[in-house]
Amino acid sequence: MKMLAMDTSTLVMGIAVLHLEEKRVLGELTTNLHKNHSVRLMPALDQLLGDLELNMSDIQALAVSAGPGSYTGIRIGVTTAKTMSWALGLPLYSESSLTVLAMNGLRFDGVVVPLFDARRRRVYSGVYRREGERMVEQIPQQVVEVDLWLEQIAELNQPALFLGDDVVRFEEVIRRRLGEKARFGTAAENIPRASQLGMLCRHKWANHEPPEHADFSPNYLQMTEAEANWIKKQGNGETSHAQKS
Amino acid sequence: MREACSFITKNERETRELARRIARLLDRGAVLALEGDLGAGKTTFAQGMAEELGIEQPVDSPTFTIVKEYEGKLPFYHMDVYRVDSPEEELGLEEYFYGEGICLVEWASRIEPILPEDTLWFHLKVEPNGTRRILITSTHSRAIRLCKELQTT
Repeated sequence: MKMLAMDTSTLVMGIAVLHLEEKRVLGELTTNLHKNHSVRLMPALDQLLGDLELNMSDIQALAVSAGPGSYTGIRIGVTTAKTMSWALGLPLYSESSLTVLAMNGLRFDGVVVPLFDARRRRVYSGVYRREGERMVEQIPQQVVEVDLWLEQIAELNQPALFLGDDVVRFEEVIRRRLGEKARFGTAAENIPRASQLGMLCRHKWANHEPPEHADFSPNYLQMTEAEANWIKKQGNGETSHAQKS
Repeated sequence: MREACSFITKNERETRELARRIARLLDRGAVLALEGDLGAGKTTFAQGMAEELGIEQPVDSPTFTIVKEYEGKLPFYHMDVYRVDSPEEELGLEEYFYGEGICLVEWASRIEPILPEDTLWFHLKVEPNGTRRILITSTHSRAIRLCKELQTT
């Protein structure tokens, strides 16, 4: 049984084909440059399947990153995967894009912190630790103000591996807050891999977890109520820039 | 909020020409908030900017789609956020604001908390004699720089 995995939730576009019973990655394609995923995703799938001498009829399951990340990117992947799932009658599995990235730190002795920039000094992130062959959340993924986030990580008092291409934007503040405890991924470790997405979804398949339903939708990561209220307060004119005209 | 400068335009052609001059001075990632009553010239202003950015498609209202994307010399994102109920709606507008193009946002005050700090605010007002006053404000030095450049070009 073969699974086709796709991830377009960040600047990275990744696709992979896995053999589920044999637990093998048959092929993988990753780019990390252009954000034209909507134009390239289908031709790239076609290309990879062609290189592997496979047809869509050889694929029995699908996997997709559910987010968080780029809203536009997430929608492209989720819409494509859902459409294929519905049209071909294939089960669709999904996994968090942060968990997928955290997998690159599986061998790290400490906690792993995948991170995407959410703008306005906030990040999408979670704290992960190893459990068998998977990474599980120690502090749940969330969208959070970066300084508050680093406070929480500092309290763990463990080496923390930060992963993701956006980490460099926060490297200074991370080093200042965590000092020697802070570690940083290599360029290759900073790239989420569709093969990791596939392996995580393979795990769900192997454990007979039910696939997604027709109402499956992206996980943009909801703002906390506190943050939503804070934004509302800002909107009520306390530091408002809007001019009444 | 400081008023950086203001301009008077006597007719549509002049509003359009001012928008073209402004467009010429914008860099990638510029976010413009456009406020003004119905008929004040918001669409004319948007069309002028689009022309200058080399966009050949007709520019019309994005009211129903919220965002319209155009490809020109720079990507041009024309938004109307009137239908956005609250800033925390999960639309991902930040991707446009911090992106590679020019954003022109109508009804921007509805989502002000999520706009970048260096947003340039444009207020189009109909004067009693029918001319339009176009007021440029911002809390950021970007507006002052733009005004200086507009006054010397």
